[in-house]
Amino acid sequence: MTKKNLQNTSSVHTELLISVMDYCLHGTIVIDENYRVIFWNQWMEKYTEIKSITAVDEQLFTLFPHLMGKRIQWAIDDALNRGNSAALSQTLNNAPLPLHSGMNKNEAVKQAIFIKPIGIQGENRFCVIQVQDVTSSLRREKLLRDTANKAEDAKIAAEKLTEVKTEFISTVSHELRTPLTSILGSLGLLCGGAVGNLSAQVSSLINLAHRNSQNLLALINDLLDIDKIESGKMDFVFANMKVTPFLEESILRNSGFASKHNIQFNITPAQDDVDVCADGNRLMQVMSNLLSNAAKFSPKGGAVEISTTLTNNKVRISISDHGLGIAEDFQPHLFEKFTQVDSSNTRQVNGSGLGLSITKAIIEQHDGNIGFNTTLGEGSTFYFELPVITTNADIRKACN
Amino acid sequence: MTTALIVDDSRVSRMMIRAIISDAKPDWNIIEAESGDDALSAIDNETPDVMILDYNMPGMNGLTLGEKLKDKFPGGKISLLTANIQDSTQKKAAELGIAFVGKPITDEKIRGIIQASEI
Amino acid sequence: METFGDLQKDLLAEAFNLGMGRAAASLSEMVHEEVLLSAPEIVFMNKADAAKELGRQSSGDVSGVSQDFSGSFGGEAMLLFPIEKSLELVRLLLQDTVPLENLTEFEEEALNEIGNIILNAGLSSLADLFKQEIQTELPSFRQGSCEDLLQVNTNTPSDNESVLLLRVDFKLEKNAVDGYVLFLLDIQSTEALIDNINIYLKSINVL
Repeated sequence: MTKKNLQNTSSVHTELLISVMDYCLHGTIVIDENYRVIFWNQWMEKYTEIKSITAVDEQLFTLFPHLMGKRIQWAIDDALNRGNSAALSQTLNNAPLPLHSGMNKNEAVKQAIFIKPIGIQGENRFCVIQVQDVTSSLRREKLLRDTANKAEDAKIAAEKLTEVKTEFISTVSHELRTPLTSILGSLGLLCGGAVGNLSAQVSSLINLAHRNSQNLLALINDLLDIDKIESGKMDFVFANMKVTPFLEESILRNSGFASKHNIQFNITPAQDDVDVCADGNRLMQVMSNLLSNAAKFSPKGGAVEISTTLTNNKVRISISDHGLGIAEDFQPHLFEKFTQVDSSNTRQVNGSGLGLSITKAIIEQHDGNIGFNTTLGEGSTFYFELPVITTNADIRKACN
Repeated sequence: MTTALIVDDSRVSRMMIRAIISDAKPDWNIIEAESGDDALSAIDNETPDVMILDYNMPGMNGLTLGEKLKDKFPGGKISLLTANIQDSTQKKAAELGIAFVGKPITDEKIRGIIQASEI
Repeated sequence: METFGDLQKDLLAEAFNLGMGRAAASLSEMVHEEVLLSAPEIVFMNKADAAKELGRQSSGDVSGVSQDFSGSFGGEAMLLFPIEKSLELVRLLLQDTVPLENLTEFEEEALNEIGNIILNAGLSSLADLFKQEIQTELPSFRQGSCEDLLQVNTNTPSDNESVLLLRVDFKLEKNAVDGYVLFLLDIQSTEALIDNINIYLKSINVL
């Protein structure tokens, strides 16, 4: 290769490299140690509206006087004098170069700037400044932050609403219970003949009022229980107790339901009685709920079976009726609040729709579980299982 | 005889300051301490005329020490020699009437402190 | 490493604290708030020990900034924090309260710049002290386990590379955040650094 050829090749290379830098998707400025601009690419021309021909040979701080004494100058000095590279973030520097894109002339382009020293042949010091337009990624991030903030706000609002609702229910229930108790007392006295015999017409009206007041009180008591469960304020007094006498007692106490619905409670006692650790009053509430449900949904003259089985250190108490069974689409919602089978056949059945969710919560507080099996047209079995106490250590562990 | 007190937790720094002072003023009495408490006990029977204090030290910082020394020796010249070059530190030093000198330690800076003490 | 005694350590600590003072002044000017930065501890150890030490101080992964440097001695410089500390530091500096669990792209970029300022200042203070030049490359954001970031090879433990480990304390208003600055040096660079320190100590008649 002749000398002339070599020169040509090298100048072609140089031209090629300059074109590459010119078309680069970032802004590129090269300055010498006197801050004199020696290269200014097309990107810079476009974003600053300063032509390369104007910028080259001009001092950087003549083009942008406001950059003097700012972080960008320290970084340039640090590169030229000490050989350090620097990264200037948008966040900490907020668009130091006055750049504008075609899209929005009024808004400064957000930028990330990289400053690197370059030395050619040891002595000569240069500094290359590269600029990235980060406006769109900043916009994306702002969207992300706004979404996160909104989600947080919505969460707080929802929590607040639940709190207010719970407090409202609790207050209203308490305020209703006091006058209702005295209404019930008065109606009871009237029904019992405390003020003398009543005419058949008056008596039937008073009885209607008395029955409905009792239902209302039950509903309020259920609401208060749900409130206690949800706020974690339901107290339990656990003690060791035998299952069979407890079941017998529960049948006795709920015999009113049996006679009202004209059905029978039949108990099949377990062969060996076992101990459980339970709050007797709360567990009685569970039995009352399950027995009254079974009675309500049984055909007149039918029977409800109560049985006990033992499996894997657990005792299962089952209450089976021979009613209509539970429709499939309703089954998943059975233990939810305010749910009740609402078909024309059962419209006359009373209840708050809270009983089963309270029952479930009580059983769970006993480390137990609750469930049911049902066949349409044949009937349903509700059962709950409780851990069996076998040793003294178990008693202490479970009851403490 | 003039007495100089040098307080700095860095031994190298104390040695450098001592070397520069001894070179300029061979007859000065020089006391070194590596902390504020150390300094206060070292000057029990002395009356330092020139005090050079580092700012960042374990325990008491240079400004707290400077305040105490100012009360004890109202005639002494105190300089705070520190790597903490922020305006807020300079301002605090000025409020206490303490001269502020930015590190690194150089011959000129220490000679400047010596000259200022002779005015 | 017998030649790296208390006197050598003292000189390095002084130099770094000078750098930290300069970095703090820059950061303070940028965030318009007083920033205190100091390097109260400095140790030389091998890479595996350094990774262990960092792992002990941060229960999980670490994040931070890495920067290569070259000159009379060269290697990799890093500023590392336990991940939750880097979130805390960036959000303190930016006075940001957005409840995101990770650093966002722009927070990473900001941490990069903070690391860049601190590492450049630290390296410059050494270069100034030894009247030599140390060139630094652009910073990059790193996140991962201490072993990964320090590239510790557990199969073939080697003492060829040593780490100069500095604990750095940031104080902003009433908040304090601890982090680490590491300089990963190969054996030649370690020797060159110690030679430079000893030459300097001799020049001021301390050795």
